[in-house]
Amino acid sequence: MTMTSKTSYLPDLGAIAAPQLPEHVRFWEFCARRELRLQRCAACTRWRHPPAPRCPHCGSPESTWELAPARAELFSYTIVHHASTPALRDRVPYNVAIVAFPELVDMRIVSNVIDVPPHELSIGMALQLTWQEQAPGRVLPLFIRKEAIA
Amino acid sequence: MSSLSPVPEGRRACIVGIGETRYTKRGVQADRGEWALACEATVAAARDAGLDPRRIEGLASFSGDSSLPWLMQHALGIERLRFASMVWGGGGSGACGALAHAVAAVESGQAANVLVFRSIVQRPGSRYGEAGGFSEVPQIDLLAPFGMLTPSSMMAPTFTRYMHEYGIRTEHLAEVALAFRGNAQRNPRAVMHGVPLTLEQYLASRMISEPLRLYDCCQENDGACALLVTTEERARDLPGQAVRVLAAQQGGNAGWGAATMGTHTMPAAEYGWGNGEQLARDLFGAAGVAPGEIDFAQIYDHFTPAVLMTLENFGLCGRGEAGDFVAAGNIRPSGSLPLNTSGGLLSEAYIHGLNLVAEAVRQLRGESTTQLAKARTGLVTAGLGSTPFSAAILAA
Repeated sequence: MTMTSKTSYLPDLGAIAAPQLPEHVRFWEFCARRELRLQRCAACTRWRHPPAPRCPHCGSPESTWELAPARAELFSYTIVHHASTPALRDRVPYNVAIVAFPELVDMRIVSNVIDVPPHELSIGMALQLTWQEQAPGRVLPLFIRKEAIA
Repeated sequence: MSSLSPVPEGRRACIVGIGETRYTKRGVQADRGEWALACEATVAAARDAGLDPRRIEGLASFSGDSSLPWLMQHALGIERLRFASMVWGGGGSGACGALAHAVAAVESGQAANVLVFRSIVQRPGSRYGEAGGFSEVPQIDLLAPFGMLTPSSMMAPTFTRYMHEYGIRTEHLAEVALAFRGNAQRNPRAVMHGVPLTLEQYLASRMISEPLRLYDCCQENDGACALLVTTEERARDLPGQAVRVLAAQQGGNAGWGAATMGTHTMPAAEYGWGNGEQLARDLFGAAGVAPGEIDFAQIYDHFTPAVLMTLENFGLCGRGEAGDFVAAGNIRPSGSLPLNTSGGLLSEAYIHGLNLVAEAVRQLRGESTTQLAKARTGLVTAGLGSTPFSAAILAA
C-alpha cells in the first residue's frame, strides 16, 4: 500500500469515529490539513494528549497546538483478527499501533502501521508519518516503516 | 489479625448473604430480562441471610445497571430506601467499588442493610466483540478510526508490552485459562462445567487480538449476582455465617486518565504492567493485612494476562515473576495461592466480577465447590487498566 492508494487502510466506520468532546475538534481540523498537531500548555510548555480543557501539570487553560516531532517509534501494538463489525471482515488481520514520540514524555497516539506485514512489526521500530483520507473530511495520521538512511 | 479500621467494632461491615441466578450463555435469559434476574438474585441473597428483602435499605451497583433503584423498590417492596449508589464506568472495574459504597453506607449509619447487585442480559447488538457497544466512550474518536473498537483490542497492546518486557510466554497465559477451567469442572454453576479445556485446544483457538486467543478472553453471559451487607452487630441476629469486609476500596495509579480507553498515554514504566500498585498499598494498609497473609484470591480475569499483572501489582509475586509463578503450579487449588476457585469470569460466568466476591464469601464459609483447606483471608480484585478500579479483602 502506498501513500497514494485509493483505498484507506481501514474503511469508514461511521458515527463511532465522530468526535464527542469539543476539545477534540481542533485536533481533527488540523489532521484534515495533514498536520499532526498536539496540545501544548501555553504557560508551562508541557505537552498533553488527548486534548483537555486545562493543563494537568500547572492548571493553565491556555494552550497552543504544535506539530508533533518527526521522530516516532512503535511503542506497542496488537494484530486484530476478530472483525468487530462487518465492514472490517475483509481487512482482518490488521494492526493497531501505539506510536510514541521519544522526544516527549508519555506522548502517544493510536494509529496503524500501513506498510508492514503483521509479523515484521516490532517494539521500538522507527516510524514515519503519512496520511490517508478514510472518509470525506476525516484524514488519519498513519505510519510507515522508516527506512534506515544508508 | 485485626483490622485497622477506625470504625467501632460492632459497626464494621460484613457480608451476610449471597444470591445468584442461573448463569448461562449470553441471550439465553433475554425473555426474562435484567430486572427479573436482579430480583431473583436479591431474594436468594436475602434468603441466604435470613433477612426479609423489604428490609433492604440501600442499593449499590456499577457499570450502569439497568435495574434502577425505584424498579428495585417497586418489585422488592422496600419499605425504607435510604441509600442508592452507582459506580461509574463500564465492565467490572466497579464491582468491589459498589461493595465499598455499601460498606461505607452501613458503617456510617446511612442504611442498615445494603444490597450490592449486578444483573446482565446481553441484548443483540451489544456483544463485547462488537464495535457499536463502545460508542459512548468519550475519546473513542481517537481509537475507532484505527480499528480499536473493543475491550480486547484496547487492552491487547498493554499485554504485548508486558510480554515483551518481562518474557511472559503464551504457555503462561494458557496456564491461567486451564487452571480456571479446571476449577469450573467442579462447579455446577459454571457455564463451562462439563466443558474441559486442553492445552492443545487452547493453542488451536482462534486469535482475537494478539496476544489474546479466544480462551484468553472472558465469556459473555446472562445472569445476576447479589450480596447483602450489614454491620457485625446486626449480623449477630441473623442465622448465617458473616464474612468480614476488612477493606473495600476504589483506586489506581496516577497518570492513567487516558489509558486503554484513551490514547494509551499512561506512564511508560507502568504501561506494560498495570495501574494497581497504589490501590494495593492502600487496600492492604486499610485491612491491616500483608500480601503474604492472603490465602486465596479471586482475580478479575477479563483477560488472562491481566491476572498475571494483578498478581504482580498486588505484591502476590515479584514484578516480572508472574509467568514463572503460574508455571510452577502456584495458582492451582493445591498451590501456594489458589485463584478463581469457581472458574472465574473465564469459566464460571462474566457477571462483571461480582460473582468473584460471591466465591470469596463461599471460600470463607467453607462452601466452595473447590474448597481450600486454608481459607481465612481472601483478596478480590475488580478490573485493572483504568483508574479507578477496585478491590476488597475479606476474612472469615
